[in-house]
Amino acid sequence: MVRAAWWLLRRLGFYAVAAWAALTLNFVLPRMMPGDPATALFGRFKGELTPEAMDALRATFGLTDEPLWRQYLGYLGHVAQGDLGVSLAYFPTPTTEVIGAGMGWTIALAGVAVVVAFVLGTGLGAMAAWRRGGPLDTIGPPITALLSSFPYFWLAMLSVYVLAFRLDWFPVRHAYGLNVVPGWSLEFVGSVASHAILPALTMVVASTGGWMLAMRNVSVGTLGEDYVGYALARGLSSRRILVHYVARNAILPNLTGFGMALGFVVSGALLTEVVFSYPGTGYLLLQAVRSQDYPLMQGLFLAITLAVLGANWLADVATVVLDPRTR
Amino acid sequence: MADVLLTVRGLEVSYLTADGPVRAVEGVSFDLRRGEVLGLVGESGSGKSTLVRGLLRVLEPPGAITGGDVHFDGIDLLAASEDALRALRWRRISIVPQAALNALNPVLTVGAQIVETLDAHGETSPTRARARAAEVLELVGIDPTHLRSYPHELSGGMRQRVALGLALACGADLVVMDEPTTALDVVVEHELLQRVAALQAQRGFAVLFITHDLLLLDALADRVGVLYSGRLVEIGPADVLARGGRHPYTRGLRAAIPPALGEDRVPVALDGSSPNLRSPPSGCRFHPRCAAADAACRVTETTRRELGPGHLVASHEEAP
Ligand SMILES: Nc1ncnc2c1ncn2[C@@H]1O[C@H](COP(=O)(O)OP(=O)(O)OP(=O)(O)O)[C@@H](O)[C@H]1O
Ligand SMILES: [Mg+2]
Repeated sequence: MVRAAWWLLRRLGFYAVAAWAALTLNFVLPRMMPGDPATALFGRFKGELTPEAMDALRATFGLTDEPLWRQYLGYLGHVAQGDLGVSLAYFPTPTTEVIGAGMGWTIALAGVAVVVAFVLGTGLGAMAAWRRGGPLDTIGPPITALLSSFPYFWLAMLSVYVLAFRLDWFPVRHAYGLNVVPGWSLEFVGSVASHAILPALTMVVASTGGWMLAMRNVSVGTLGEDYVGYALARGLSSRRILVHYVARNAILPNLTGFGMALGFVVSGALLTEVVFSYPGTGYLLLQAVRSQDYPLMQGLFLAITLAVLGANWLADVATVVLDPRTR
Repeated sequence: MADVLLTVRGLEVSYLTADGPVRAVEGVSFDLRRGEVLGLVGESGSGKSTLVRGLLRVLEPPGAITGGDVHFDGIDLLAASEDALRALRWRRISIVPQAALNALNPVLTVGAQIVETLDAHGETSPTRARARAAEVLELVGIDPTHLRSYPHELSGGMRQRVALGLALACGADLVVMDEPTTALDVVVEHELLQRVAALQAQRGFAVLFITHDLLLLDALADRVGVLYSGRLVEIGPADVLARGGRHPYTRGLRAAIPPALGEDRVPVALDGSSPNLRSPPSGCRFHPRCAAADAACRVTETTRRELGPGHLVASHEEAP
């Protein structure tokens, strides 16, 4: 127990170092760009950028006449206070606020979709391995291969065109109806759900097969373990063996991959959010690039890094909880 | 014979590999009486584990039973349905595995694994199951606080004792032990064997004890069978085999044992190695390693002859 706590703390320390490296890179990169990025931007935005926006931009990059180390400390101080400057595209909203709003939608949509796909995929994979050569094991892999052979955005666009546009079963874009007032009303929640179903579905359809294959392959190995045969000889029920012997053990190597997938939700949902015009972080990232909103881009990269590190740490915690040998 | 618990006749178990079947067990026949301890000895790869898995029907593919028949207390094990087998497993036949570390689920506590076993065999009350699980550990001399331990937190000897306790937990009539002491040092091995002998004497279950150590069976077993390359080459009362046995292989095994203190004899190692099962030697499978082999041994199969009460040998040697 104590050993596990130490290990988790050490991992946390490791992730903290990685986060610090990302922060520093975020500080260094703009300064390595030729010239002053703010001035360069100013040239491009000539006439469009108000002097206040220009100042905000400079402040974001911490471009003052102070020595570099003071700029760096100032930058770290701002980040620690959650101050990542002001977005240009959404001027004068602070970057963190813009990202926070997008993050909420992304986690609700893509986060849920990734978890559902993982749970579904690992469940199906364990069952396919259990009945090797059975119906599920026979049709699962070819369907997976088929689904993963065409690009995701094609699947997403096809479903928008057919299911939303042609058949009108689902709304075409946005996170909720434009005539609905946001709040904890039944109408709003229903609208959000009906808008999320199709994009979530395309993500689940696209990624479940991968989890299924991975889980199936590990499970086939687990089935060959002595403890499975011994459990059978002990007269345990098939269900008990499948869940507590095969799945419980076979899921362990898949946890790291799950952590990665969860972390990349923040950026990985880009295609989904673009196709469905869903106001999450992926969509924001595209907006930021399009409008050369450097503060927003920087903030998003930071958020993505932190999300990946955080999700990996959660996977570490899950491993410690599920595998007593790591304690 | 009403007191016969297990009857095995002409059992054949093969591994159906891509390059053809490998016959790992062939033509094995023996009886096991209630409350009897039968030892089966053989080198590594002689098919001991395959035999056990075959007769309990827990073979993993590509292993398959390709012939023979097995009756347990009048029930045809090879024809029994999965449900019928599940009813037999553990309540009537249990196993102590070769390596308990691999046989126990690494992510469940020892207690959970005992409780789930009791639960699968009709113990409905969780409180009673936990109390019985504590008794199981006490029976094999392990402190019940270890109910909350995971398998990797126990020593090799403790794990093997947990496995022994598990095998006795549901009062099985037949306990099959597949090299239960192989992974242990001699002191711990001795301790475990004494425990097995004491519990067996006290509870009267039958034991099929698999080992590669002939010496170990002298004290423990009532009868001893010798397995060579998937075949039972000799079986007889333990005291008869303790005096040397008849089959050249049995005697070879005996001669290879280092002499006890004060014994005037030089150990003679058995030359060669056990045959490759993919292309086994013709005739008597032991002939390439047998000092007494002649031309006939190369071509003709051996037949089983009864030399004394319950003493069967399959060799070409003439009776003296
Ligand atoms: N899955 C398999 N495929 C092909 N051959 C196999 C397979 N498993 C075992 N065998 C063969 O069957 C033979 C008997 O193996 P088995 O495990 O029964 O030996 P054993 O007597 O228990 O040996 P040990 O003392 O090492 O446990 C071996 O020669 C082995 O090569
Ligand atoms: Mg073995």
